[in-house]
Amino acid sequence: MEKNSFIFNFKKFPKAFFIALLLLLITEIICRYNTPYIINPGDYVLLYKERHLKLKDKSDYNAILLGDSRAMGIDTNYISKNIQLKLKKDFLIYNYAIPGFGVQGYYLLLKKYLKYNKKPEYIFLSTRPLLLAGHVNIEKRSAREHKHRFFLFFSIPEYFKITSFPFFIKTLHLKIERFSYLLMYRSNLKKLYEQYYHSKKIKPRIKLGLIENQGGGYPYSLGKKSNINDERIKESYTWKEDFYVDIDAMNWFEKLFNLAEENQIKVIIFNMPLVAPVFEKREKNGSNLRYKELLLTLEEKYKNITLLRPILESYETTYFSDPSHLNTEGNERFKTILFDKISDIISPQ
Amino acid sequence: MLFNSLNFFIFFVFVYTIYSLSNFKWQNYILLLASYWFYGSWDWRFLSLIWISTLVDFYCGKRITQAKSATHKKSFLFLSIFVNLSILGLFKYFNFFIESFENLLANSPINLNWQTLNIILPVGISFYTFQTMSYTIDIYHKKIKPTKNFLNFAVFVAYFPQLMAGPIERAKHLLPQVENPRTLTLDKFYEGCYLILWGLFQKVVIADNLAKIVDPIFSAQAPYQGLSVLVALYAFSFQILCDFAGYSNIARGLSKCMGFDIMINFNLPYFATNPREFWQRWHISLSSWLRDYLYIPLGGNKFGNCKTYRNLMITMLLGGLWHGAAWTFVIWGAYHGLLLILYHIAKRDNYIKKTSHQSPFIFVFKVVFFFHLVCFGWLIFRSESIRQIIDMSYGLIFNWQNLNLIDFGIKLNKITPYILILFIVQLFQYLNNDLMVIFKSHFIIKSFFYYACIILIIIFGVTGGKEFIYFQF
Repeated sequence: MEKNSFIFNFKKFPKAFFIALLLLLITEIICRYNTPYIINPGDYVLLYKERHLKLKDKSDYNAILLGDSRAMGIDTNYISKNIQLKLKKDFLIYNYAIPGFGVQGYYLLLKKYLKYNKKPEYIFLSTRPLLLAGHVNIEKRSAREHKHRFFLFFSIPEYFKITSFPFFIKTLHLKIERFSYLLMYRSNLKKLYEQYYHSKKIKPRIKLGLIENQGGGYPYSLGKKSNINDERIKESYTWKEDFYVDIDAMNWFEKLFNLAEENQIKVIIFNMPLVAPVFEKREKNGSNLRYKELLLTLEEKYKNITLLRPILESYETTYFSDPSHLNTEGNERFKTILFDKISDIISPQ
Repeated sequence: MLFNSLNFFIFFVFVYTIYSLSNFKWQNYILLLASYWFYGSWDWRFLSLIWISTLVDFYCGKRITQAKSATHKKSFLFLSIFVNLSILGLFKYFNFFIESFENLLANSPINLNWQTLNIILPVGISFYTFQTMSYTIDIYHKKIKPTKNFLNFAVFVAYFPQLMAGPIERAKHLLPQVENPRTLTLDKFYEGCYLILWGLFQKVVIADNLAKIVDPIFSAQAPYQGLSVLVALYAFSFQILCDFAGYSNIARGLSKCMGFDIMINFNLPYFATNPREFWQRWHISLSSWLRDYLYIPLGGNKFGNCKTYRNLMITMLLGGLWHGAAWTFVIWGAYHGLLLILYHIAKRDNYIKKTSHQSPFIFVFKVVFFFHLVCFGWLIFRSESIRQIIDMSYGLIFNWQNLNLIDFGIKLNKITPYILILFIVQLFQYLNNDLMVIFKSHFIIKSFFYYACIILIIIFGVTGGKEFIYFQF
């Protein structure tokens, strides 16, 4: 019987393969060096905040804002400065809103924050009906980018804690992809090529200074053309359907409150404005009422929770860039209202 | 489990690791288990069909050799063919024939009202039934001896790299490789990796991107614009080539890695200058199967022109029908049969002269001309119905009003980069008369080729594992 001669032989060293690998490595470095050009703004903010969270020489924050892409546009520097003027004491806030994050993400983020930072006095938590309806639980998110974002922000053991074992195994390869920007941002690179091919102009996809100027805030829809019409609102409403409570999501929510309570952190819950047509439909079918009742129950149950009123409000479509996200005017309007409400709560009695 | 999926990658790495660490005694068990697992991942139920085919042909092969009389031999051959064609007929053609027969009698007073069956077409059925049939036919004709080892025969039938979409291997070629110890060498491994990379590139970059252009045009409703049909035809011509040749290259590459050598299925078919040459270059394993087991037994070209043409037409009609249970495939077969007959007539009457030296211009003209004839064949092949063939042909010939050159440029622009890459590589292969010319080239050229393939697969490759077209056949 013949033996296999599958033994590595240096004379047959695959030079071409290794040169190709080297070229790929160079391409990867070029991609990393040009991150602002290829990365999605949402992902960039995520990377930025992940690094920021671990920075040692940064200021201690009195409050952090947790939320998703809707809350990303809130300029917390504005709120900080005005609270300082009003209270005449230092009051620093950082916006840790992450696009696509669900309630599992908030819990992990707070844990991670407490590991690297002094505990804050307040958490400003932006919530929404879909969060408690479980639509944004990681297992239920269909878009690949949402799973990627969890992997980008959290390590494998951290991710393991929040998902079921089969789901964890099924999505583990995404973590491997995350090691390479070339793999991760391949669709952006394709767009970059198409953009160059058609217009020969390549612009950075993000504005770096804006994140720091707005205390971590970064308008999600920055640079995007307003895309709001009846059809999109209808689509958005159909997708979201009526409000119902997801037990799993509620458990994660309560874990978050318990963690805050253990660390004597006060939680101020607020809702981002809804686009008027969706708000009205939800008023009619009772979804808003059910949601409000649920939040009030939570406020009663946990002593460290304060719920901002009105619990739900709507803005006209002109304040939105799409059926979910506020545009620049919308964010400007909302930040002043948020400041008023927050300052009333935290000002000394 | 598709070749272009992460699942298959994990599967192959796992199988290959165990396979290369095992000795020959265990390798065939591993191959068989892996092959059944691979096939079962599509649908476990259809494994039983492979088992039936394997058992029957193994038994018949043995009995044909043992039989003392010609009648006995014939009866076992008949049994093997009958079982395989019955499987194929039931699962692939039953509904087609019932519906066609009912349509034929639709205007007559006879009301048959036969029930069609709700049958799912088992993947790769046409490939492995043809492969096993060739085994018993070859034994009958004393071209090969039957194998004594059932395990080896079962591996020959179910060998996973070529199980789903060929090449349709002959027992004479593949079985000895299964029966004898294989040597895994680094050279073969590198060659295999090269073929896998190139095949993957053909599939996920060229074929799947062209599919995005082709599918909307073919799924649109008539009237069809001439320009759109033309673009769709060019795109589909290269889509189907890269889809199928890509699969074949991956299959060959996987086999090389495991120490097997399976046949070349595509040899630059669009460089053919006539229909005969085209079928010597396109889906070689099927065309040679049809030649050896259908065309030659029918009489080939030995009994005069008329019978030659008849044999050609029957072969091509059945070849068309092999591709699928639809009249469009039959018409496509007839179209190619007609091309072959016309070529024979032209050759017989000296319209085509044999010359040892051919002007490059004439050669290019012939290639381009014949490519367009093949393209029209693809219109028939890709159409969903006869109505669509008529509508699209009408659009292609007559509907050129309001031709917008900018629109033409944009549409052509979409397909050109993919076709151009393929053309450059294939031209290089053709001029050197060697499909492995890049693999044999200087390592600097090779490294840039690998780099380009990987980068293009990453950036432009269509993710999500689009199925290979030939799986449905």
